[in-house]
Amino acid sequence: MSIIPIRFLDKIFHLLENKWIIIVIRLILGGIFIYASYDKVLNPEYFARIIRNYHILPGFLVNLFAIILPWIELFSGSLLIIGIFTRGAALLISFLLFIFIIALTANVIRGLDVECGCFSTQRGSIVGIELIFRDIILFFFSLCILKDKRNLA
Amino acid sequence: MAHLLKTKAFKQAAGIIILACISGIIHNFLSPYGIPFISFQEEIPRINLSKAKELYETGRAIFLDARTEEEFAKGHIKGALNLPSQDFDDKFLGIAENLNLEVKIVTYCDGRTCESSTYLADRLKKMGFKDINIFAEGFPEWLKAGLAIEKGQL
Repeated sequence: MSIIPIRFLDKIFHLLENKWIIIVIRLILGGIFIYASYDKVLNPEYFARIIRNYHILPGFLVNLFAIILPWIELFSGSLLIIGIFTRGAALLISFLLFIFIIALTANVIRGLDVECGCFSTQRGSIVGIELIFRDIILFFFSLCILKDKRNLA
Repeated sequence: MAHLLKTKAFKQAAGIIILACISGIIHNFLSPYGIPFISFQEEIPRINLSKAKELYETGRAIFLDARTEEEFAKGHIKGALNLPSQDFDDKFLGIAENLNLEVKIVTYCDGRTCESSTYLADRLKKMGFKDINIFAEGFPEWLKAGLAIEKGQL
């Protein structure tokens, strides 16, 4: 087995341990989640409809998630940008992204025509492979923050 | 596992969740756009072209075209029945013999911006039909994919 890919990955991981790279990742990820939460905080009814269309959660839990989830995104994103409680924020964002990836993948497999609800409650992106790849990249970023050895919180 | 739960990350995450719950509940209570905390409403599944094609090819569903008679006559999914959403009360009995409450139904119209298929699906659901799906991309996507169509009224 060639050691070149391993050395390449090693360099990538080493690069991602750089303090400034981590700060940039935090700002980008935090900004994305604040932006993602805005419309959903203001329009819980439309967001609930989008969640319901995923046909994953039991019906009676949908509204509670629609009310609370955007605030988790908002606070987590804000804390990442401010730079406090970053581990907790990164842990939550990692968990959310993991759930989103599972949900998006499940609906692609099931052939459901579902709006993502990622950034807006209005007619937006329909669930597809590219959204799944996007969330995988964001998930990787959140793990980088979580893994960061410096205790920035 | 107990050790993991005591870590700083978990404690911080728990604090964020508690804060989010309190903020979300207060905001929902005060907002003019607030929603009930518990709701038992079910959304009708929206399927894509691939799923619609599968249901068509296996003969597992009845396709209902929610568009007007004129639009239906110009071209529709082969074998679909026409039940214009705006004439539902007048036209339903004409196709009712083809339906039963257990049959899988797929409604469609002219694409995602067209609400007729959703309206038709809602009406059928209220009547007691159990297995309804909405083919969201509608006839334009079916036509673009080169799938079976026909013209004229049945």
